[in-house]
Amino acid sequence: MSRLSDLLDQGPRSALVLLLMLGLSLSHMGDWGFGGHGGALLAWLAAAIGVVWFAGVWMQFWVAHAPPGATRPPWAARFVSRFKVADLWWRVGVALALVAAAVSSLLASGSGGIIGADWLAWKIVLFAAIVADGVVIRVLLPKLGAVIVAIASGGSTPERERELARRAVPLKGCVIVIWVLLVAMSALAVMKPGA
Amino acid sequence: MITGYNVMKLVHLLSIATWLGVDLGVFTCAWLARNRSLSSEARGQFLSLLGTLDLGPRVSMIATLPLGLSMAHLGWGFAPGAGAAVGWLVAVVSVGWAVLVVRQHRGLGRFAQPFARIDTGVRVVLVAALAGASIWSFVAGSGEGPVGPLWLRWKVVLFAFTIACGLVIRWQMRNAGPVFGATLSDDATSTSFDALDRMIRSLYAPVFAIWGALAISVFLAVAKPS
Repeated sequence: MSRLSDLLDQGPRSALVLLLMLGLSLSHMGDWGFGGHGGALLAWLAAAIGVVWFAGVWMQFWVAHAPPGATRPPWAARFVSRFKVADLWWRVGVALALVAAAVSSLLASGSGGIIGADWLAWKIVLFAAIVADGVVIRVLLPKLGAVIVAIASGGSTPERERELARRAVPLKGCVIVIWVLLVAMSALAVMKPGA
Repeated sequence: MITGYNVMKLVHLLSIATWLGVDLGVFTCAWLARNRSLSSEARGQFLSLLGTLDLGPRVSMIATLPLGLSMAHLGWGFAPGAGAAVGWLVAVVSVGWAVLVVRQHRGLGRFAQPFARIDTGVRVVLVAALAGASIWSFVAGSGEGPVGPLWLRWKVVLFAFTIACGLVIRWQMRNAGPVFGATLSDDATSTSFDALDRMIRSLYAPVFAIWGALAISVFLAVAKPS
């Protein structure tokens, strides 16, 4: 089951990386934001970093899910342990940078912010919230994982089941928040209020 | 701008996302359930999850029909006279259809068999009607047939094709109950696993064809060529 959940989790994890790369490029190419040569450079830079980030996300899965009897090379395990930390802080940095760009543009609305359209600035704020929400999930998940491991190895007890249910509540909340934010982002993209 | 068309466009977009996204989950469950080293309990959980997840694409497919029809009428000149009435009728029927599909998953008792037959029949009629409307529009030329723009005609053909692929999947899985059941007992034989393997492998072509058709449909909707 953990292989299934981890494999399915690669879908949203990969999509988030692609969304950032594509969103930046689309904003630049559609003249919605990140204009000029600086914007083009940023889009190319985001694409290059995105490719590395995408590869890192899949490398992490590849190392964590070696087939029975197979081992991954030590350098891969070392890379993944460093990548996990870098990935977490990178997400914090991306969320902060996106919020800064969007809020400064909203404050300078109509007078030349980085992001030209207010609906896009709000969309970027929502995307940053999704990235931040993912960071919160990543912080909370190991505590839930520890309870699952305790049940798998030591058996189910009423206390462990209660602990499992208690630990799952904030995670479910975080996941539902991501879904709501995605729907709101899609609504902004379709309606483009104020455009 | 908040308009009826845009609200439908949003729900249509989300329906395609849930259709394709959750279908990837369904396929992954089926693919992993083939693993012979799984305990029968774990395989049972995979298959149970598969059945629940499968509601996502099934309901999403039904939702795209009234949304697509209404959007085609409002924005792209589908059936200018009767389009609105057809859109409302299909919307009401689709809500009922989706409710029954969800209830079918929980068990419809003695109504299960008749519903399965009606559901298959409706899909066959839909494939014929959608493909027929598109071919009529292709033959009649611009502005004459029920489906106006060329890109929309191809999109309707692709939608009919995805429903047809779903019917092929249904046919390939006609013995799913006994095949799954045989692999869930503790004394399952390699013959039982071979049968499960064969059945799941037979789904690859129609499932990949649906994903490909959905991706092309999204491209047509975004790029609107010609």
